[in-house]
Amino acid sequence: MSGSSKPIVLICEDESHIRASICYVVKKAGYNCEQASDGEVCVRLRSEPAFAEIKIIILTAYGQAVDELKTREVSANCFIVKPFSPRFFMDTLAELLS
Amino acid sequence: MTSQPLFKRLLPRRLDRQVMLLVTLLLCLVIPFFASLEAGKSAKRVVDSATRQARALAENIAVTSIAHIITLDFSSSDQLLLRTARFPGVVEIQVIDLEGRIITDVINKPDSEPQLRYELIRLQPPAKPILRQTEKVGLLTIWQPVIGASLVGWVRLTYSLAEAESIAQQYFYDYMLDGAIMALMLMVLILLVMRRPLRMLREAAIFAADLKNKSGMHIPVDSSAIEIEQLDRALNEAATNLFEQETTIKRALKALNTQKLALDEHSIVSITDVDGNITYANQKFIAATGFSSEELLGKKHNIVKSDFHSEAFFGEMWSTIATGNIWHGEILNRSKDGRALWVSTTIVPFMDELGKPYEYVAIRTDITEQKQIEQELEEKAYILKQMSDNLEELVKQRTSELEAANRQLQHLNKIKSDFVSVVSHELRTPLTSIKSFTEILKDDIEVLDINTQRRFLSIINDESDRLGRLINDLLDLQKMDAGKTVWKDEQINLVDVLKKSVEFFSPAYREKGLQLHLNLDRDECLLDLDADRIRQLLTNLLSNALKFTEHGGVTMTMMTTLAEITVAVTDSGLGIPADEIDKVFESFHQVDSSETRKTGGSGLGLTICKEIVEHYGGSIGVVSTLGEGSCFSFVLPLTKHWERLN
Repeated sequence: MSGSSKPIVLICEDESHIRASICYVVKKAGYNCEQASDGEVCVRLRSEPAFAEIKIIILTAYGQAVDELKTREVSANCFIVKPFSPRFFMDTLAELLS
Repeated sequence: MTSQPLFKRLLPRRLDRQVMLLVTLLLCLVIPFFASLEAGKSAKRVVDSATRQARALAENIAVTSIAHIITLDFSSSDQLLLRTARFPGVVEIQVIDLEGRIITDVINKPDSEPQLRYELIRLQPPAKPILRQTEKVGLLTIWQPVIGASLVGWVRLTYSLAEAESIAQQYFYDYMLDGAIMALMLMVLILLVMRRPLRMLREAAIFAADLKNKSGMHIPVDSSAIEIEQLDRALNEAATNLFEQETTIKRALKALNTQKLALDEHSIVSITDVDGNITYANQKFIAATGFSSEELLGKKHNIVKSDFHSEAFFGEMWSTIATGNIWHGEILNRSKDGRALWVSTTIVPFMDELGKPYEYVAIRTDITEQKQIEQELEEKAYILKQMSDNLEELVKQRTSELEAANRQLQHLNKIKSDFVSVVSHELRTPLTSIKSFTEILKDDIEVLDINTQRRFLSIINDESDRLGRLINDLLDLQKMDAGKTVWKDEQINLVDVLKKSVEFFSPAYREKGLQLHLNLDRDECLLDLDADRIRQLLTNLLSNALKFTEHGGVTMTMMTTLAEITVAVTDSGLGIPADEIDKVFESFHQVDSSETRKTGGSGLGLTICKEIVEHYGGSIGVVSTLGEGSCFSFVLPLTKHWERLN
């Protein structure tokens, strides 16, 4: 039951190593973790009104203004530029969910 | 002159002499006429007087003779008649009785005394007792009846009228003389009176005859005769008018001459008759056409005609001037030596009283030079137009080229932008893994078991290698682009390199469950190549084939001809969409970004392959069917390597 009360973090990342590292820190922080390799799921989530409450963090390796604009198209709550510190990621996640 | 009537030839030419002649002739006719008329009247009076005298004598004799007849007193009768016969003019006297018997007969002969005559016996008396007289050959015969109680006899008296006629003749001469004297006086008078008017008339005539030289001069006005005065005044007026007209004409002529001079000085002028025959050509015409005046005059104007203009052109010109209108136009004439002579022409027709042209004056200006300039300008304008067109075409072409270049630049700019973006992505991605696992290891080193630690460190190692490869690829490509790559060409056996590459990849292929074959058409192929670069080329191709193939296998084939070596890597992988196939050799071109990243490519492999092949003068290409597989092949020309190959 305690598992169901924990927020679920869905990690969509095509780079398996990055996905594994994020999954590690998320689980360590006590969240449930789900994984996907395609970021397209974010667009689908945003198209469903029922999932409007879900927070989205974009992890981008482009780090350019044009990429920032692209990420906003999917109405992400915030974005973090790669390479990032797992601690910084977890702080951002915690702040977003608080 | 001979046709003139005689009287005209005899007539004096001068008027005063004509007047004199006429007056003389007139007087010659009038004087005898009046003289004879007056003389006739005087003679009649003399004859009448003589007749009356004769009848008185006859009456006296008759009265006295009554008794003589009755008494037959012959002697008294003789005495009476002899006495009576002494009267001048009496020629003969007879006294006769009723029966005609002569009583007395006296004859009075000239230059002698009257005598009795006895030759005649009887005379036949008139039938009736009345006075009867007859006149014959200057002789007057009177029969006077002698009446007493009754008729007793007759007196016959013959009277000579010679005296009376002589007197009449004398009268005639006297009248003639008087007339002649009067005529002479009259002529003198006429001459005196007419002398001055005639002289003035003569002077006027002389003045009039020489009037053309007398313009502006005056003849003294003579008032002796009103006609002459009028004539003089008229002549003076005529001379004045003539002077004024001459002055006006002289001025007009001077002005006309000045204008003609100016016209001749400026223009080419000719005059033709109604048929086009030249009647005048000025010096400029002669100079311009090269024909002499003799060659031109009397000739048709088409002597200078060129074949440039149409018949319709000249037809229009002739119909214009023939109807009295002025024609303007530009004509190309031909000079005697064949030179082109362009003239701006004005033709003015001159019309007679009937409104028909009798002369055409043509005034021209030489515009040959102007025409030449115009022609040159036209030619230059044409050339300029062509140049302009060419330029326009060139500009269009250049614009098109620039647009293409611009598109190319935009494309390159996008490539650059993509490149930066992809490089950024490709660098950040392994760096993220490295950083993440380094931090995790650092934070959780105590809680992580040794296997997990090893796994995390292995990931860090792999990602570091990946980063290193990427950096090497980037540097390689940058050096190749900049021409700074050091090519360590040496003799290698290409077959060995192919074999070693396949051997190197065999474990990875096996691990993925794929087969890798190598087909060779010879055992040895010695070429001067950089072995590392060829290895890099083959590795890229084989690693790509491995990445994108899930089932089946990959075959590397080498085929040689006299001219080239072809190496092909054929896979049974995903294949490349047709619209992407041309771009696979571009840097960081990703057919499917997620798949590329999953397979861990730098996105520079094929670009590097292309650079290597092209460095050796070869080419690289790909044929592919989506879902069935791809075949990448490169061709190296053998021209420079042929000897080694044999």
